[in-house]
Amino acid sequence: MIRDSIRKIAQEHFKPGAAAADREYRPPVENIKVLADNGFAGVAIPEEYGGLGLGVFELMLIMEEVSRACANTAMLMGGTGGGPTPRVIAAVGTDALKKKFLPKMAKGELFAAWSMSEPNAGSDVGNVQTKAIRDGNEYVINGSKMWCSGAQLADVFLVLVRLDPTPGMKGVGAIMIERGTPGFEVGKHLDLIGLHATGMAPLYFEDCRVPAENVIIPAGGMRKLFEILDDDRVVGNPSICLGVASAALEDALAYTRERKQFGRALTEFQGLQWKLADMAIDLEAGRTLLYAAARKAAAGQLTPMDASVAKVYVNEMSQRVTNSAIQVCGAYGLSNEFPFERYYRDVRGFAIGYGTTEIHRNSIAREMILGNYKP
Amino acid sequence: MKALVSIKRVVDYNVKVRVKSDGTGVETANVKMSMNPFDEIAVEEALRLREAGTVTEVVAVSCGPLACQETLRTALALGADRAILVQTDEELQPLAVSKLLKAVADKEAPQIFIVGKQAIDDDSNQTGQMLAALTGWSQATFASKLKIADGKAEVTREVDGGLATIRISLPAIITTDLRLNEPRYVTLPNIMKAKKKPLDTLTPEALGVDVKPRLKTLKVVEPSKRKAGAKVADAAALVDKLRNEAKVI
Amino acid sequence: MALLVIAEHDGAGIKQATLCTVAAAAKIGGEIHVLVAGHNAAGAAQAATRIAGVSKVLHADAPQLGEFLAENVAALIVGLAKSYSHVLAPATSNGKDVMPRAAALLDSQQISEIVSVESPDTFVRPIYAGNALATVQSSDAIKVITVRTTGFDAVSAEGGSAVIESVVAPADSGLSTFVGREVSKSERPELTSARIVVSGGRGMGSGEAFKLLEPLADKLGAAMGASRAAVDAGYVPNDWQVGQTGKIVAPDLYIAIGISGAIQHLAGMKDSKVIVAINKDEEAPIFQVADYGLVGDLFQLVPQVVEELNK
Repeated sequence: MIRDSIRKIAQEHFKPGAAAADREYRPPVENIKVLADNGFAGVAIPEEYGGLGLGVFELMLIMEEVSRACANTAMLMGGTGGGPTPRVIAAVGTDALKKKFLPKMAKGELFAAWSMSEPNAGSDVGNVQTKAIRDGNEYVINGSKMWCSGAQLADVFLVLVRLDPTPGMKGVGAIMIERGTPGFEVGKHLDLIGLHATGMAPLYFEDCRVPAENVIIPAGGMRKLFEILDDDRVVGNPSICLGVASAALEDALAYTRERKQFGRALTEFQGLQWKLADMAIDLEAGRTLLYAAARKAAAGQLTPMDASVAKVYVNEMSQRVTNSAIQVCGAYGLSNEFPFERYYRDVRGFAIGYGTTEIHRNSIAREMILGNYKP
Repeated sequence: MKALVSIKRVVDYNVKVRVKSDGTGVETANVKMSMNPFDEIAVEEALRLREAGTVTEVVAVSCGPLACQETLRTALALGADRAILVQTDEELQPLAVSKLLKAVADKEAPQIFIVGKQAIDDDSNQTGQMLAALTGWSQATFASKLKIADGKAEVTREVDGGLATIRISLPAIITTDLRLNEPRYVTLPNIMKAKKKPLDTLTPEALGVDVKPRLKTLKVVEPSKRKAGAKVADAAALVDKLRNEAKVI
Repeated sequence: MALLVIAEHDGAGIKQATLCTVAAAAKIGGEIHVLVAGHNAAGAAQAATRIAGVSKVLHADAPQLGEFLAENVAALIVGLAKSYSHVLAPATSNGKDVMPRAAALLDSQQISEIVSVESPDTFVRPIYAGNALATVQSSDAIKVITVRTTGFDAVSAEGGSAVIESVVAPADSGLSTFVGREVSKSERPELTSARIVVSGGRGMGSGEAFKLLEPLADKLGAAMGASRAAVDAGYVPNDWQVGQTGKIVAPDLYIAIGISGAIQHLAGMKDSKVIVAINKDEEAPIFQVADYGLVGDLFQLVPQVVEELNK
């Protein structure tokens, strides 16, 4: 019923404007209001803070269905009660921080972004260089962040900073920073290959003073964050790939049924039938992997290996399926009057975000070599 | 005032139905099922009456197999207060359904019973009118506007050639047309709440209703397909074809 | 065996739908009686006597029958039905409103919107919006039937010489009163009985644009219709809607302009004898059912067609 409901909302409200949002680089913020009005903003926020306290599996289904209609909206949804920031606050935040932020996020009134990457530290979190130095009851922050999704819309930011001069991961923690804090600036929109409408921008800090109680993860406490991120590797990133790939196959199938060449519908050509079948096999394999991972995550049994296997496969599957969708639709597949080229562009970044597929292969190999995996 | 709404589980509106090759019916195995769209409108109207303070309780009723529970849960998630399933695996035809609904109406004593004007599977367009006959209540079919005041319902009906308005006494049966309202979405918090709302189960036997079908379906076939014609070059060619080939003008 | 046909009329005359229903009754076979229920409808009763193949007209004239309220008319039908093997009405909004109420009171499972008669107890009716045709057999003593009028060619309105018999209407039920009627004003023929229909869809772009279709409809003496998309967009009134949930039409000529041909629309017009489609999208599904397709900008093509017709 959750899937039916969100699918209906997403197909009726989000899909029609998806192409224009991409073309105009305009984050579809009105969709967040639709989600909030129908109770989909507070999905992962605990009930005592006005949310629904839903599990990882439901969250993944919702993300998949939103992405099937509009990937940019799914990215923005990460800034509401379903995204990583509120889950981090709920898991490790002080009561004061929870009370301050969570109820508003659950209503869709407060938009959050989180920021990890820096110009010189992407997947290499231990190399975070943005500094927060204690000064009385405040921290003074200096440095910059890159590729922060939702930055142009967010009211509050969860930012990974170096709280302690200890090198490597041990010195890294996280702090909440509100928009408008003096010394904090959101930069210009960053234009990437796809996902044009997520308000992605860099963040700049120059002697930005933030109260000490805003520290949400003290130095060295990153393990906790990574546990939540492991769940997010299932909920966020690949579920969007799955949704977009599903839309690509669905639309390609509809197109090839209608389109006639040489007097026959395209689907009557066996070469094309096989291609469509391969797309379905690939898509369903990815879906099965991801659902299994999400169920494990919901049961608290997700291993880093499960998360990495699902992420890598679904990221790469979505590239193959959206690429094939273009191919079977011919020149129309390339045209921006059809959604196929957008699907192709939109999924590309997910194999780089949230840990590149190579980093994840490294961790898969590490688990194997450590003996944590039996084939 | 209590409102009852009846709900049918049907093949989803978006599914393109396929006739079974043995001609016994249409394929319903592994097909997505949903609430009949006209029934969604019925639920919505009842909820709006409750929100306006006219109605105090909305009860959703469905007749059919156990799987109808799912459809009733959807009604509860839309906002109905409780649900009743009259459970049977027998094929139900409109006369039987209206007898079952009459039995439920006798127990529940609603002032208003809202029914979809037709189900999109058998397209019978009978149940509401039959229920009105069996209860002896007034009926307003194909409603596009409903106002309740002073113990009466004023209903605007979509009829051939325009709209007709009637004033009927309560209790009454209303059947919904498309433009009565636009149903809301099922919201996530309401899906959660729906799980805890009461859903009672009755049986035709317990209600003392004989539901044996009166119509026997001998066969179901696909309608003959219309063949695509030809494209014509311009307006002149079109008018020429219509005049001299098709001879319709 | 005698059959009773419930007439659709306007007080002065008989509607085409009645003639199609008489045709269905004739297919079943037996003596055909027609019930004219109404108030001050003597003209209609007279007209009914002239319908080919009708032997008797039952005329019930009473104020409480004036607006064809279901409670009163159903009670009248139930009182008469016992002498008949079949009671038929056209599947008009009146027929659909009244007949199931009468059927339930007769403990008969109505057979809705038949399109063909196989035998006196076996009929064909569309299900799933016309995507399937079911052949059903009734075991009820009195068969209550509504007739999809497009399934039967009308019998002649002239040539019959039936007798009129007055029947007494039951008292007013007191459950329902008529308040008013809003008739869509139109000089054009009625959509469901017109020989030619000109329909516009979402491609028209606005209600204003429908004016473009008027000269064409005028020239052809056509009724005007619309797709659900055009109705939902508010371009035209809802009783213009042709389709699964609107009117079912089967004219000699149906001209679909700016209509893509969603399955729900096709369900309402695919039995038309000749279908013409004008649409700028050559892939539009409407072309798969159209006998003649014209691809291009409707805002240019429609005036050109009118110009050609004037030649």
